[in-house]
Amino acid sequence: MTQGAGSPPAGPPAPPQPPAPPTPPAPPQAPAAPPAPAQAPVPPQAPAQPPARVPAGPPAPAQAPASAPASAQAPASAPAQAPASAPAQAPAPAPAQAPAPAQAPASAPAPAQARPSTPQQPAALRSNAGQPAGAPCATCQQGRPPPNPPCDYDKVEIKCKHCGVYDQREDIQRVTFTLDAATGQRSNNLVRSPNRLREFVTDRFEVTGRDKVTLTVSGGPGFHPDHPAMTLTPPAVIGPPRVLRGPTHEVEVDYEPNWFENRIANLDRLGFSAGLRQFFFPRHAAWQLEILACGARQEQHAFRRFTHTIAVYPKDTFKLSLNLPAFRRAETASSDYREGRVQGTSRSVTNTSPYGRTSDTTREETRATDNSYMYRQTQTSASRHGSVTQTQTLATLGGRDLSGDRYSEGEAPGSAGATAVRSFTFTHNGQDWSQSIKVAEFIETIVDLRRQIMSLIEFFRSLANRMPRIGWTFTVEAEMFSGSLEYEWGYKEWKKDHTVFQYYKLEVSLTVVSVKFEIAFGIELLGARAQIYGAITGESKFSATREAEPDGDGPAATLSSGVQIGGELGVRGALGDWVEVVGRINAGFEGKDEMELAPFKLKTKLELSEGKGTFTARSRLLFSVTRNVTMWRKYGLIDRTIIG
Amino acid sequence: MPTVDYLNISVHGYACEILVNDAPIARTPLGDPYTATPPISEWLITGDNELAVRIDAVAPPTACRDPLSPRRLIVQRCVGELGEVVPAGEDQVLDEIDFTPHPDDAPLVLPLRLSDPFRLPSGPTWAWQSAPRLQLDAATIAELLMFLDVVHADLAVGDMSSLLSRQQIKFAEVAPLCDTTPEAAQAELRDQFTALAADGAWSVEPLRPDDLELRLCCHGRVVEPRTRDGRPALRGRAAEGSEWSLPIFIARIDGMFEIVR
Repeated sequence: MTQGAGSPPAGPPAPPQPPAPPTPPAPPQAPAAPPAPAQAPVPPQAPAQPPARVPAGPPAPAQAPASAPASAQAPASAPAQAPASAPAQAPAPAPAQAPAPAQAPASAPAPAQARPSTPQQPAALRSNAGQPAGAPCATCQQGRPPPNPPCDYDKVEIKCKHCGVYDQREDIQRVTFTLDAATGQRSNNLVRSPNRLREFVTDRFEVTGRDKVTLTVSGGPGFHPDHPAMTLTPPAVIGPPRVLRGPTHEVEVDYEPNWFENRIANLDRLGFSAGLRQFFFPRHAAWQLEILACGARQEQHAFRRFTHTIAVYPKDTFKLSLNLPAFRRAETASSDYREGRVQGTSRSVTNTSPYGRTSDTTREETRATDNSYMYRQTQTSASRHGSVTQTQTLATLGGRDLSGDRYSEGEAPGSAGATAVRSFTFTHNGQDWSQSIKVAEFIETIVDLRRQIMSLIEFFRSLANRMPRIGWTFTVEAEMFSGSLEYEWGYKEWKKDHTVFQYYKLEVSLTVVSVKFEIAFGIELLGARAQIYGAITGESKFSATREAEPDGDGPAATLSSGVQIGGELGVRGALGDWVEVVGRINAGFEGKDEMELAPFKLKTKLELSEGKGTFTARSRLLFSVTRNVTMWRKYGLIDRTIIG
Repeated sequence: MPTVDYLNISVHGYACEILVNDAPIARTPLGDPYTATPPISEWLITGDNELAVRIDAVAPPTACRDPLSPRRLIVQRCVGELGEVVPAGEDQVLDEIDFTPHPDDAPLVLPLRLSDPFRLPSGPTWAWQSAPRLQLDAATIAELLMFLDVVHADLAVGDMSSLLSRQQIKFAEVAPLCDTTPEAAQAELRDQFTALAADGAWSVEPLRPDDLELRLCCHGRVVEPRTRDGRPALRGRAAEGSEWSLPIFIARIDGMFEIVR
C-alpha cells in the first residue's frame, strides 16, 4: 500500500496538523500555527512550492516573519539559547519554529552561510523570499517534510462490461459510492430487490467470470502524484495483488482457473453425491479492492479510503438429467395356515444382485383339502443373459393325479439398473461428463432404499408370529425414482442490479417412491382372534417446472411433496363373535420429500405410520367392548438425502 | 365344530342397514369403508327368509376415488366353521347382494331397499318367532321403559344374577350356536364383568327417554332399544379405557318382556 508523503496516519480530517515539537521553546509571541494561506501568497519561483495546479497550498514559511516580529531577533540573540543543532533533533518541526531561520534575509544575512567580508563583492543571489541561492532552504535545513497537498475524491464508480447492455445487466449503468464532503454523508445507488428473501448486497459487486470491471474515482480537490492508488487483491490461487495508480482503470477479474477440471478429478474420491455437490453453486472468488487517497482537502470530511469486494462467480452452466424407468420390485411371503378347510404352505425366497445382475428365486406351494392335494415348485435362475423359469406341479384332485413341468424364458434381471445408468447425463457447458460421475453409486442408493422398504415384510412377519395359528401373507411392491428430472443450473448476473443469482431451471415428473403392501395376518383384538387384511399404498411424486426468478415472489426455491396414501385395511374376527372397526383403521405411510433448487438437494423421508384403530368386539352373549388398539408402532423406512 | 351362518359385509360409500328377517344386523357409516362378518344363525328361520339392505344415503363420487377402496355394497350370506378366521376372499358364499349401479342410471331414490329372499330347510324355532306383534302405544312404551329401567339398575349395581335372569331365553337359544352351554356362557359373562369392572372402572350411562328410540323389528315381534344415533341404549365405561355395551332385543314372551337376543 502506498501513502502520500506526509499524509496523516488515519482519518479523513482535513488539513494535516504536524505535531508540535518538544523543543525549542518558542518565544511567547510566536504563533502556534502556520499563517493563513491568504497572508502568504507564494511566488511562483519559490523552491518549496507545492504543485502549481494546487491553488491553495500551504504558505511558504519565508513570509511568516511579517507577522512574527519577535522572532526576527532570534538569529542575533537566540543562538546561544537555541543551538543550530536543535532543529535537527526535531525531524518534523511545527511551522511555529520554521520561521526562525527564515527571517534573516530581510535584515541580516545568516552568519553561517554567507559572511561577506567586503562590500565590493556582488550580493549573493536570493529568492524573492530571501533565500540564498545554492543553499538549502529553511524547510530543508530543518528536515521538515514537504507540506501535504490536497488529495481526495468524491465518487467511486464500478461497472462491468455487461452494465447497460441489452439483455444482460441492462437496468444498471454502474454502481456509485458518493461522499458529500461538507456533511460527511455517504450514499450509493445500489438497488434493493423487491423480493424480501433476497439479501441486500452492499459490500460487493458481483460478476460472473471472466469479466472486465471498470473502476473510476472522480471529484474532489485533486490528487497527489501517487494517488489515487487502487489495490486489487485476488484470491491467492489466482495471483498477487496489483496496485493501480490513477483515477480510472479497467481490470480483468476471473474465477479460480481450472476449477472444474480440478474438482472433476476428485470424483473418484468423493463418490456420486459429494462429487456432484461440488458443482452446485461453488463459493465466489473474492477480489478485494482498496482505493486510497491522502484524504487531504479543505472540507471537514474526506473519502480517503474505500474498500469493496469484487465477487467473481464461475460462469459455467451445468445440466443434470435423469430419465429412470419404472424399477418396481415385488416380494411376497406367506406362511403355513392350518385353519379352515384348507391346509397349506407357501414359501418364497428371492435373491437379487442388481449389479451382478443375477437372481435366483424358489417358490413352493402346497394346498390340501379333504379330497385334493397340490404341490407346486417354481424355480427361476437368471443371469445377465436372460432367465429361465421351471415350474413343476404335482396334484391330486378328486382322485385324479396330475403333473406338469413347464419352462419359460424371460429377461435378464437388473436391466432396469443398467438402463438407469445409461439414462443419466451430466453436462458442463454443453459437454457430456456423464462417464465421470459414479452413477452406479446412485443406483446402489436406490436399490438400498428399496431394500429398506422391503424390510416391511420382516416387520409384519414379526407381528404375525405372535398369532401363529392364523396364516399370513405379505406382498410389498416398491418403485423408486421412476420418471424424469432435468435440472440446469449456474450463476447468472441479474439484469436489474449488481448481484449474481443462482440460476436454475427444473423440469421434473418423478415418482420418488411408490409403495404398496398387501397384508393379511392374525392379531388378537380385545381378547378375540382376528385378521387384519387389506392393501395400503403410499406415493410421493414431483411434477413441476420451475425457473429461478430473483425478484419474484412466486414459487419458492423448494418443492415439497407429501406422501399420498390410499387403500384400506379391514378386520375379520373369528366366526361366531365378530369384530368391527369404528371409523377407519389408521395405517399407511407418512413422509415428505423435499427438493431444494438452489443448490439442488433431494431429501426423502418415509415411514410406516402407526397402525391403530378403534375396534368393537361384538358378542352374541357377552358385553360388547370398544377400545383403541395400537397394532404396531411407527416404523422408519427412509430418511436420507439422495442427491446434494 | 358346528357351522355358523354369517354375513360377509363390505360396504363403502353407502350408509345403510343390513337386515335379516327384519332384524338389524349391522349399520354402515357413510364416510368410511366397513367390513365385518357378523353371525346370523340366531335370526334364521325355517322356510322363507330374507336378507335385505336399506340404503339411507350415498356418498359423493369424490369420497370414493381410491381404486384400492372403491365404492361398493356387497353383502354375502356365507357359512363357515365356528371359530374359524376365514381369509378374505375364501368365504363359502351362499347368497349375495352386490349393488353396483351403472354410472348412467338415474339417481337413487332413498331410502332404497334391496332384498334377497331365500329358503332354508327345517331348523330350530326361536321364541321370538311366536312372540306377539307389538304396538308401541303409550302403555307398551311405559312398560318397556320400566323394563329397561330395571335392567339398567341391574347393570348399574353390577347385579349379574338379576341381569342373567332376564336373558335366560337368549342364553338358552344362542349358547348352543356358540358351541357352549348356557351355564358356561353365563359364567363367562360374570368373568367378563369382573374384568371390565376392575378398579371401580365400571359405569353405566344414564337412560335418557328423550334420546331413546324403541325400534320395532322382526315384523313387530321384537323391540330394539337404542339411542337416536343408533348406539345401544345400555352402555357405559369400563377398565383400561374401554367402553362396554349390551345390545338387546326384547320380545313379549308369555306376557312378560324378555331379552331374547
